[in-house]
Amino acid sequence: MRRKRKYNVTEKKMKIIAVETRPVAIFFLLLVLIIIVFSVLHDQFLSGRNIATLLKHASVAAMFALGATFVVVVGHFDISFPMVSSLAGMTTSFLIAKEVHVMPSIFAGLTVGVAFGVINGVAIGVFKLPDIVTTIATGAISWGLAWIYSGGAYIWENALTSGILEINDAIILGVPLPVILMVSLFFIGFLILHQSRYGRGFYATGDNRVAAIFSGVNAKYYIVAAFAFCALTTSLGAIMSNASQGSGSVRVGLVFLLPAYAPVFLGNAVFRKTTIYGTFLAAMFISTMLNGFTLMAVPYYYSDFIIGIVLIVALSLSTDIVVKGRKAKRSVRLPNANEEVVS
Amino acid sequence: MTDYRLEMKGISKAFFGVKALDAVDFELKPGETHALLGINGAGKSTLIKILSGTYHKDAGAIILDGQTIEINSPQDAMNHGIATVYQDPEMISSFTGYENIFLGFETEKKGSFARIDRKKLHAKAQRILKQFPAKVDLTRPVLELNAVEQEIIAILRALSRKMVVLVLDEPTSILTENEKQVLFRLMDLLKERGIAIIYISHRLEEIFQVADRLTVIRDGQNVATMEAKEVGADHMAIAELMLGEKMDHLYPVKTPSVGEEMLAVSGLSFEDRFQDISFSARIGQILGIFGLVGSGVEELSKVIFGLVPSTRGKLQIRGRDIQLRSPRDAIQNGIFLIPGDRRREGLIDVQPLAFNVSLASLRRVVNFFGFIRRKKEKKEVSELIEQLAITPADVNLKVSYLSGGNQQKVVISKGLFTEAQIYIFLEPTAGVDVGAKASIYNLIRQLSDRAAVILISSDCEEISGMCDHVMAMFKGRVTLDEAVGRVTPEEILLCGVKGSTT
Repeated sequence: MRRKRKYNVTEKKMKIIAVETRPVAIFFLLLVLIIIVFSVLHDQFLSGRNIATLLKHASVAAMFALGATFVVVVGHFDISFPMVSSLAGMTTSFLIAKEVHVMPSIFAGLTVGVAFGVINGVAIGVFKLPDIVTTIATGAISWGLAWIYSGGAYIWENALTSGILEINDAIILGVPLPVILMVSLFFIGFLILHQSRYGRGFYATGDNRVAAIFSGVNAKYYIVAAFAFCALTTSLGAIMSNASQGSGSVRVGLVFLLPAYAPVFLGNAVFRKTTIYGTFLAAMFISTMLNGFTLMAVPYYYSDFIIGIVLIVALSLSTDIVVKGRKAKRSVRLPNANEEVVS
Repeated sequence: MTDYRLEMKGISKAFFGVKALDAVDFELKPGETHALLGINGAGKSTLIKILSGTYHKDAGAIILDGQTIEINSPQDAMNHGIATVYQDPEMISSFTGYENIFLGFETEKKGSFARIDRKKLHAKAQRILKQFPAKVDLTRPVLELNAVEQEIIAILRALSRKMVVLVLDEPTSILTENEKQVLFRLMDLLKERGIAIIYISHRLEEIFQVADRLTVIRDGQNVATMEAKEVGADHMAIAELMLGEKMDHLYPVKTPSVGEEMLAVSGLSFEDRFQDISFSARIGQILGIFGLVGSGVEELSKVIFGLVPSTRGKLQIRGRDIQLRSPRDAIQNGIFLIPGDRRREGLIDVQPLAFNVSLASLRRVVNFFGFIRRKKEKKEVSELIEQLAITPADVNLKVSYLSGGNQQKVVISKGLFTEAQIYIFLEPTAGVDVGAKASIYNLIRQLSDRAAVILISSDCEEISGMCDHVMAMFKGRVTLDEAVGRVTPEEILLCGVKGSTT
């Protein structure tokens, strides 16, 4: 009798492990599969030059996704970063045009972005305003400000001579600098979220804010930190995107809403929780696929269409996996209403 | 024809092999108010839920006006004229009173686009309302109405269809004294029309005011049905019936020793929830606080844990005045609350055991740079879950895969991991099976050897079985403050449900 019970426990555990590792295996199989398919279809796909281009393009999108990961982990949603990062990018370009040195210009752009992140975090974490509506509003404010510098026109003065293009094009030990920057930021994100005590605070806040507070976790600070970090990496992404175009665009961040959230939720679907490594792998997966389609001369405007389909398929596959006859709980948690501790 | 409007015969119901109701007989006469009494978990709400179609009975028969009926869904119950009004009636709060009354029955015409004649509906609702002395503005959205007006609308809603039996589940818990009188007058009028009322309440004084007969349910059985007049005002006899024999073996042997005073509370108040609470908690002693929902005990625990600031009064830890601004503050000062709502307040259930247990004191498992030392964490958490016999003993397993009792032990482990000196347990055994109950009680007793323990519960057996000193709270005030040996569980119960023993 006792032995039988023990067996059941292990069996249950095996089932849980099987359920949790299966999507990961499928994901890697798919990744290998698309690499094989594209390398067969196009002989340039695996060339060194294409891989460098792929990674450089992926860097910007991945940095947007990194920021979004933190906001999703604390159980919230940020719609403002496409606009806030545009403001940050325009701030940097404006200062460069005014002959301010490149590093202070970048720093000023990031500061403006982070300031908006902190405003978001305080409004949502401390004053408990609803996240989506709040970030739509703060996004609108920042985008309005972004237009003031040039009335919405591209800012290209001094871009060529300021040194920002060199930063974007620099190659260290054969690796483009933006890639190094992106990988380092992911590594820092990984250390914070998966290795440090603060990671526990971020997850606890997002998974069950009330229980986190009951455990002595200062949930407000984690929400502020998540929005601020999101603003930081997305602003940097926008500045890098401007650098690669050679001019500051008021619309630079706008295209990154889907490329930011798709890897977060695809990673969530694969690893059954929102993680830094999940976001990273999913971002690489999506970029590889888009790069392959570009080589095949599929028009660029199909990219949102493709990412959208990948995201929907991943979400629907991950939510109906059955554990022991019972439907597994959705691991994707949409931002829930700010719950009061005392009712 | 029988004399009874409703008969329930030999009703049995088991949940996962545990009997909640064991061959219960219950009869209801037309035009009577019949009170249903019992402590938490006695089975009275199970009986009501079978009658209202929420649960299916395992055995027995329900006979309405001499005919055996089957109730398989809340819809069936409504069609037979059995209406249930809960303490917080569910309504669409932005709709007006009359719209709620006729919700889903707005028109007799078929089709999605059949016109709703609001004037006619309003007039119809007014006609029903006029039969009663109550005044309610039916044209206002219900969210603007007070609690009793909302309850009246819920009753009118039931009246607008067929109604022969009305179940009122704790209808007065959120009503003021005046509002109660309005409700009681309405009940009298319903009785005159032959409607039979089942009345559930914890408040004994009310029951003797409104009930004609009463039935006591204990451990899933009908232990007594009697005329209210018969009992007179002998509340003690009722309390004894509700409690029955005590289950002594469930509770560990008491080993009180009066140690150092850890926590002293004096004159503590919080808004209108509780006033002027004073007590002290010592090592070696379990302090029990008995109180029902609304008595202020839950708010008291939250004030002591720093979740909400007190409006008045003083908190001292080891003789030192202290201001708590957050649970974080409280934990750093050696206080830990094992909350009442495990799923909402106690657990991050999508995360593994180790995550949950170490969450409140991560400083114990991090290195100088703030990185988690997983091996150390695994070792220390494993030791703790082995000590508490949590199964399965796997630190990487998500907490949602554990049973209720084991989940509660995880919350307790989290508290133990903080090595606090003051522990507050709020309803520690709610939703926990008997086996786990006994081991949680043992744990609490062991803990009292090295920490001050405060046990807050609405189960007065638990309080008298576990505690060395007992307090009871009623409507935000202390109504009893005694050593456990000097009061009976019956007295504790009465102080908590009506404020005094007389």
